[in-house]
Amino acid sequence: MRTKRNLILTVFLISALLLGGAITSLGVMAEEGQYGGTLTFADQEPIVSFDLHSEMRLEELLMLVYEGLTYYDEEFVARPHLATDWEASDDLMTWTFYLREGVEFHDGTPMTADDVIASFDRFMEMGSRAWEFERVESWEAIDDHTVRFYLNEPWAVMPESFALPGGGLAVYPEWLMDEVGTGEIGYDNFLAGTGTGPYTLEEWEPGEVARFVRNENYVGPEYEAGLHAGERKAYLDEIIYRPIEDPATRISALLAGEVDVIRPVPSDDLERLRQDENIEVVISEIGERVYFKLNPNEGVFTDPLLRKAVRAAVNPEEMLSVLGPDEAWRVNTTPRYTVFQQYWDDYTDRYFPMNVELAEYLVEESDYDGEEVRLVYASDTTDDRVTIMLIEALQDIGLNVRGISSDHSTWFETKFELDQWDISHSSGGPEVPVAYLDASSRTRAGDPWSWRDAEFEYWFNETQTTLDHEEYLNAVDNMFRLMYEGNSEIWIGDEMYIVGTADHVRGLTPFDITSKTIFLRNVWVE
Amino acid sequence: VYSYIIRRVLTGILTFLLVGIIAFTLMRLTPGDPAHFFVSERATEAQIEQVRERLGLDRTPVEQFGIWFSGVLRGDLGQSMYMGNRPVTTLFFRRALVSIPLILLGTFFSVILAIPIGVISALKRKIKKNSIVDKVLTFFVLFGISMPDFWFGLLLIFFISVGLGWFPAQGYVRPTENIIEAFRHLALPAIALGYPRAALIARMVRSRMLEVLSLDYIRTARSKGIREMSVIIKHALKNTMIEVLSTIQITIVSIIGGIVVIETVFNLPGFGRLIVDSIGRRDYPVIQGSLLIVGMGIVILSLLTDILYGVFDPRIKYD
Repeated sequence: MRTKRNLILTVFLISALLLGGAITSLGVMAEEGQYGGTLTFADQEPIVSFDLHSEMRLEELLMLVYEGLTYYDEEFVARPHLATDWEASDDLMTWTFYLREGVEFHDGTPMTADDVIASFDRFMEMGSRAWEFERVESWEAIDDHTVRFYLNEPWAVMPESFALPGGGLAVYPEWLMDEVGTGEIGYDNFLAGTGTGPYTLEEWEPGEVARFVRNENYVGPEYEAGLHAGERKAYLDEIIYRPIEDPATRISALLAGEVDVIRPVPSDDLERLRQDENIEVVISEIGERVYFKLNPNEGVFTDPLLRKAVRAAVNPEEMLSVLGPDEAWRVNTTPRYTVFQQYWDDYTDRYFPMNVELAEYLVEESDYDGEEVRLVYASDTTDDRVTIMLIEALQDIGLNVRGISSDHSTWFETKFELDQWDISHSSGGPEVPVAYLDASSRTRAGDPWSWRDAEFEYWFNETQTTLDHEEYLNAVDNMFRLMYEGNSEIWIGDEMYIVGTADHVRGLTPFDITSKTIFLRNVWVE
Repeated sequence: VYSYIIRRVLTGILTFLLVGIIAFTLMRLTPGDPAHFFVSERATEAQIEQVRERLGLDRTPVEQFGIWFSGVLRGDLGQSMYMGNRPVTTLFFRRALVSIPLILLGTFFSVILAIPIGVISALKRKIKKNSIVDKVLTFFVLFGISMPDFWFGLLLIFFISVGLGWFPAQGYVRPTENIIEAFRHLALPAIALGYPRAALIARMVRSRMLEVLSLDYIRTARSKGIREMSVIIKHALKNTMIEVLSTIQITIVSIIGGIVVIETVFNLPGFGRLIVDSIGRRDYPVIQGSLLIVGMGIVILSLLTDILYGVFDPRIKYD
């Protein structure tokens, strides 16, 4: 009897162990993903270039092929990528970056310090964000895997400045940089194996299709992935990108099973997609920032009282409610260029005490004399809705507001003409903690948005020169305070990015669609 | 007829020049500087100027036109400012391989649908004033005329593609890859383009047929004992063809305009979308080059239509 009981117990234990093992291995499988398959991704924009030095759109797709020295992790700290390590001199005037060994371009040639130097040469001549590196005076290759940068003033955040992919320093082969100089990189060169990333670009028809194939020889970081940084597992055999501009067509393509991932999903269609059992909807944790700029340099808003009146007249929650269901937006009145979540609620309470009576009083006390207030915006559904809400709020406090809508190109150009507008509706992806990046532009002469303030510049310099994180955060906090007091920008909130996926797509998390990017590096299909 | 063709070709050359000037001038008058697409929101004037120099936009408009048009005369329409600097001709003709079959299919669909509807509707109307068939067909026609292309396209996607799964909802397959799939991808867009225009042609055929059927020569033909089908097709319909031909020409031009929207709705990489996308980015060379080619296409179409008039009506002389 005892023997039988022991036998049953043994069988039970073995079964339990086997089952446990099976569950564990399934768990590991699910966590680690499966290799193989094709994923078709549709966004609204076409890829118009793979030149990351100047191109800032669809950076996540460009990053599959081309890579930079460092990237941000989820804590918004610069982490190694093509550079494995770096060090600064004590006076923060010299930075040395050590490059990853064994990295090859897709055509099989090794990546060396000469490629980084040649890429930086071109980047400094024509890169969209080259101005951020104005402190860098010279640079050189020390050996095959070491590059050094010499600065003309101390700079604490150089690795962070390399960490933004769009418009940043991607590394291209030296021969290509020599060939194109400051000109555009030609179509054929993108298809000539000039990247180092986990996928190679096999086909690209602008506006039509881009096809990426797994790079079997990829060498990259091996630490856990987070935001842009970390390991990039190319689970998929192929990624096909097809731009679908019309939102209704994009959604139909997903419903018909013709694509696997679509972005963005209009919030109005959220419920419709959820009703389909084969579709999953992922909503980002951080969204597109909705904000308005007041022109503090010319026109009626040179009067600080009137700028304060606008802030007091605005009810962010009411304005954002026109964007659809509650989960599609969130009140977030911190400046656009912070993702420091600790500020979000606190700042809303501190700086958005909507008070129409106060707003009306401030208008009366100001020099405003009924002049026309020109509100310019690029027309699309979201901008239209929110802008109309703002116009009504401002009219309620006695401002004579006229909305001027135009296409994106016209609006973009108008923003540079300071005598053409008083308020501009803006939106944009959240920028990683680049108060130092964005703020640095404020100190440049000729910047149409700038308002100069000695205290602001003091704290700004603090962010640039401290290596202590607490001190850095304190400086950022002070900069934000001053920005609010300046009242030249009215931050309203986030419009969340909504992504629709077929249910066989795995590995895509809400945080992975932060800052308007979808990280396909660790995504797989079942 | 040859002297007529030569005169028309000369007029075509003048039109070519005018289209070139208009396309160039309109883009320069439109606000929105292409250089801004290459720089960040916070770029300085100097940076923007550097990009303008790179793109050749720092020259005077006259210089820019001279450089561009002299290239055009040598057969070089320039290069896209984006898209890896690909030549405009390469970009356009690759897209034309999508758009031209779509235009032809859309036109074919509209004519195939319109002529029988117009003829039947007219005959029924002729026989009985309040004929049900005439009323149904008139409703069909009015419905088509009232329906915007994009809306009809979306309905087709929703019901036929997503609902029934008979045709793809979007995208394109090149005929060289799979001819049947290529046709399946173009079928719904062609219907979306063809139906509203079919309605217009049907209305034209109906009214012209009603007019012709009342003429004496039709009565004479019938009294001679000629078969009714022969009277309708050989005698009546042929005499409506001059007007129908003009309408078809206008229809093709209208379809060329319509593909801009339909290619977006069905996500087809045709030249309509190329032009619209390029306008959004202010990609001057692509816009100018594409408008020039499309303009010339329409001039050639108009010439062919004029020549066809003579085929249907021998009384037309070209002197």
